[in-house]
Parts: sequence; C-alpha cells; structure tokens
Amino acid sequence: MYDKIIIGAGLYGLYAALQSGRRGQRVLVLERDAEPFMRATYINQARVHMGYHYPRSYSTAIKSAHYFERFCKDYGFCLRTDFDQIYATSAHFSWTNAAEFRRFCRAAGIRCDDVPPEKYFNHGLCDGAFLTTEYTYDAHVLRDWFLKELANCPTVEIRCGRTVEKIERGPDTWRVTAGGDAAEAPFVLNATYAGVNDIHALAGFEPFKIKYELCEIILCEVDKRLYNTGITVMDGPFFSLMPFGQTGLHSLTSVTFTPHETSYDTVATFPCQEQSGGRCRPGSLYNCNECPAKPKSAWPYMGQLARKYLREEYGFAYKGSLFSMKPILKASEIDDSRPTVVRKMASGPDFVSVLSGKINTVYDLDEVLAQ
Amino acid sequence: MTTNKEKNFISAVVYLHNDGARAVPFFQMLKAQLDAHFEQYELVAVDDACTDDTVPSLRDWAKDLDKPLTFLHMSLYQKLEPCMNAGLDAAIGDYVYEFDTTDTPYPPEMIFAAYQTALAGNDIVSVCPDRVKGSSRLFYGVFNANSHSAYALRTDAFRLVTRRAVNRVHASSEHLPYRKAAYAASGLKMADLTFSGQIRDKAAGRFSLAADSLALYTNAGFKVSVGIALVMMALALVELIYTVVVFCTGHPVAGWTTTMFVLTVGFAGVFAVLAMVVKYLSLLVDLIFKKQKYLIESVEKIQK
Repeated sequence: MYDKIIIGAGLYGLYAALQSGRRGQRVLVLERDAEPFMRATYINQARVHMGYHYPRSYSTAIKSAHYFERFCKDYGFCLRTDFDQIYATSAHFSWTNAAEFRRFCRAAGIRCDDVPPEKYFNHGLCDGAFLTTEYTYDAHVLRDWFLKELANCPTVEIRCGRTVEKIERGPDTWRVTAGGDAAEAPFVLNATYAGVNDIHALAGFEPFKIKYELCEIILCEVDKRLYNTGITVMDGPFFSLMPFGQTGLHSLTSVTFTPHETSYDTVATFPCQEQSGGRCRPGSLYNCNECPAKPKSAWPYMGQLARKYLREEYGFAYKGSLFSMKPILKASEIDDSRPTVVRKMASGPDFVSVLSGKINTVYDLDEVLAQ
Repeated sequence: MTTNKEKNFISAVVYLHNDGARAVPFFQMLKAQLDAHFEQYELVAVDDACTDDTVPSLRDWAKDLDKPLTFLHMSLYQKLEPCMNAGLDAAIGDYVYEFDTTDTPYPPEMIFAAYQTALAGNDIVSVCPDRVKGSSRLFYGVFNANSHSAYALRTDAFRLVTRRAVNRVHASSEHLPYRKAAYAASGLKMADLTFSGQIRDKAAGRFSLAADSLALYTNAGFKVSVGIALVMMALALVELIYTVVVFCTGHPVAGWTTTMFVLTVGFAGVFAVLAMVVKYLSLLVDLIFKKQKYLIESVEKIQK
C-alpha cells in the first residue's frame, strides 16, 4: 500500500516522487526502462526554455520566462550557461521576422540584443540575429542529483524495468500491476509522456488528442568557434545547433528532418514496430533509442541544412544520434503554444495525467501534488 | 556498402502548374537519374496553385519515397520566376537543378551530363535545345546585343547551378526577377550543353518578363530613350532652322502651324522618355521595397 504511484521515471515523475517523498509520503515509481531519464528527458534539445521559441504564442513565452529563473535557481548545477545563444530569423519561409521578433521579446520582457547576421550566417539567409539568454541542461547530471536526493527519502521506492500491465480501479485505490507485482494507492500520476495514451487505455480513460513523431537528435562535435555558441534559426523549417548539456557536444535538430515518421493514431502506431522483435507495439512503446528498428540517421539532410545557413568557419561533425518518441497536442499546430497539460482523469481515487514538452514547466505539478 | 555515387548533395527544384499527367513520369525519370548517380539528394516541387490532379498524383507517387520531397504550395498563381525563387530559397543542396518545366525534349542522361560539366569548373550549366522559336530568338537576340554579361543567353530546358552561384546572385540582389540573366551577370563561369530538339512549353507571362529583363539586365531601354531624345533634338533643330528661314523670307504670320508642330512633337517625345523613366523607377521600387516576392501557403515534406 502506497500513498502515490507514479508511472514513468522521467523528470516529471522523479520531481513528483521527490516532492512527495520529502513530505514523508510512501511513493512507488514504476519505470519501464532499465534506469530513469532514458527517454524524452534525456533525448531532446536540452533547452531550458526562456520563451524565445514561441514568438506566436505570448502565453507560452511568458510562462516559460517565468519558470526559467526558478528552474535555474533550483537546478543550476545541471546547466550549461557559458555560451552565446543566438536566435536568428530566416529571411525566407519564416512565420516571423526580425522586427516582429524584437517586438515580441520586448513584450515578453526577455533579452534580445541585435548582432549582425553576417557574423554567423551566409549572406541573405537570415534577416536578423539576436543574442539571448537561454541555457541547456544536462539530463545525466540532473538524474544523478535526483537519485541522490531520493536516496535520502526512505519512503520512495523506484522500480525499473517494470512495464505497467494492468490498472484496476478499486473503491478507494488504484491497483497497478507491473512486472507481475501489484501495488495499490489512492493516487496515481501518469508521467509517461509519449506513453500517456497507453496508460489511459489500460485505465479506461479517454486518450489525449495527440500525434506522435519519431524524432532524431543528432550529436555533433564542433569547432572552437562554435563551442561557446548555440544557434537557433526560426520560425519555420529550420534548424538548431546548440550545446547539449555539459557533455561538450552540440545537439543538431531541424523542424523538417528531426521527425522521421508521424503517427496520427491515438496510441503510437509505426511500421517499424513490426521490426522491433516484439519489443514495441501500438499501445506499448519501447525506447526508440534502444530499439534495433530505429531509423537511419537524417544527418545528410540536417547537416546539409545547417551547412547552407552557417558560415563556413563554423565547423561541426557527426558524432551520433539519439531517437525518441514525441507526442504533440493536436490543438497546438496553428499557433506554436506548447501548453503543459495536467489533467485530473478521476477523483477518489485520484488519477492525474501530465503531458509537457518543456523541462522548466515541471512546477505545474505542484498544485496536484499538494492535494 | 560502397558505391561510386557522387557525394555532393543535390537539390532538384521543379516548377509545376497544372502539369497533370506529365508530372509523375517526369519525377520518375528524374528520380531514376538521381538515384543512379547521387547518394544524397532532395526533390523540391513548387506547386504554383495547381488546380488539377498534379499534386494529389505526385503525393501518391511519393508515399514510399526514400528521399525527401518537399512541396511548396504557393498561395496563388504567381508564374514561373517568383515560384522558382521560392524553390531556390528552400533548396539545401550544394548543387541545384532548376527545372522550369516538366517537358522533357532532352535525353535523361543530360541531367548527369550537366553535373559533370559543372564539376569541370562551371558554376552555371544550361541545357539548351538546338531549335528555338522565332519570338525567343528575337528576345535573346536583342538581349544579348545589349547586355553587359560575358555570356550569351539561350533558350534552355533546365539548368544546374552551384551553391556558390546561388549565393553570388543573392548577394547582389535579394530577389531575382529573371534568374537566367542574374546568373549570366554573376561573373561566374557558365557553360551550355546542346541537345537536338525544341521546347514545346510556352511560359505564361513571358512577354512582361521579357520587358522587365530587357530593362533590368540590358541597356536596351536606355538606348531607346537616348535615341528618342536625339531625334527630338534633331527635330527641334529643324524647327529652329525652319523658324529662322520663315523669319528671313518675311512671312512670320505662319507661326500658328509651327507652334502647334513644336508642341505636339515635343510633348510626344517628352512623354516617351518619361514613360521609360517611370518604367525604371517602378522596377527600382520593386527591387528595393518588395523583398518577399512570393506568398507561401505551406511547406510540406514527404518522406517514407
């Protein structure tokens, strides 16, 4: 018998576990992979969002900026801050432009200093470039810190390598079976990100309206000139090349080439699942990065795209690829808002699902955890 | 797996406007050629507001494509040049093929032959038919006689340009009203390949494009206005002499005819020159102020 069962040992799961554990609550964390932070928390751009990314959604931008400082204060040890983060607006195909971006930053109250685009980009490709304040976090450093802190909470138990098989509702508790063992608690937090609808299906809830993208993050070794620089060209079919936490590597992503395949089904359904050797199927997502059926790298395309924009002296070379599944709320296609969804699916016993694509909005959980 | 395929990244930009049944065979031919010779490439299809089944049939064909196909859906029908500019901006390749039409009067091998010619040090390679229409011949004749470029322009079926050439022409002007002339004026090396045949397609809006191109890339307009000015000056001189003669022979009452003659001829000439000045001014305004010359509705990438 536990006070809380948390499904998914990503950042949101462990944050919830730590908050609850510090209050002396008995918490069980169930993780499908061999250890925490093996999927989306690790495999993403590692951007601590300040809001620059959302020039067409003030609400998302202002919220990001608000949480940014708090996150930096609480988790400063896992950040890399000593680099110039350059945001640039592409001269063509962008949904925004330099003047709009400047106006947006002023309205959101975030830093935006003009730098000449020619310093970084080939002539005519970007109509504006801006020095901004944005950081990158190191998921492994963050994970180790959480595990150390959780070790001091004797009431928190993390079970890895446990796939949730069954979720049953009792009169006052949820009974969750994973890896053959059943556990009960009056509160379940579903923090499985891409697996959110898989869990909903087990518990008999309505699925979230999401689509799934199988995404590739490319890790690059970069020249000295790029080492202390992050580049993001926006807002459209462009790319981002920025430090990947404290690893010394840069992550390369692009809007068109990072997503390899898209599934519009309620639970992620991809042709590659048939080649996964039974590891993955619709309704039970395996870790894409560990999967033998992961796709071929899109490096030739992503590299070429970045090469087209960046001046020749900024060198970068392929080091490796990371793959993960990314759920995207269908509502946020036209504007670029990325709301954090914390939804109470059931009360007495409570069942809460969270879905967020941003690390620093983890504080949105506080409200449901306090109950 | 080792292959002898070329390692350079290729982009192929194809203009589509209600190409109907021709589009898919063209892309099949193009893909076969690119597959045979290049390891990495992308296809960019510029859909200039097609209203027939061009886009659906192409989308259907592209479903299992292992290389990316990007559609640029133009918001409204904007004709060849703005659309190809958009395609050029979207292309990421080191070498960019520009197919202004899906008409293929040339043998498919010409596509790779153009690349080999480029590797020999030519930044712009045009693949041209040996037979051209009369109107085209007239235009290119006037154009080449009056342009400053080191290279003569010809009717071409498609061309291959290097990233260097694209960067160069964009450095001199954000928008290219007439790409071919801009390439020729870029100062980079240009080469022609000739095949035997003729292009059947007639590009829409080619007459206004021809007028713009002559005004922008040649000094033909300037020459004409100078010519008119000279003729007017000559007329004025003749008038002067006539007036003097009339004055000397002692019949100054005939002034009414003279005045009318000077007024009509003079003003006609002034207006002709003014028309040219206005043309130049409008082009300047166009070039300087209208930076985004095309309207993009959406960008759609297709890959298996």
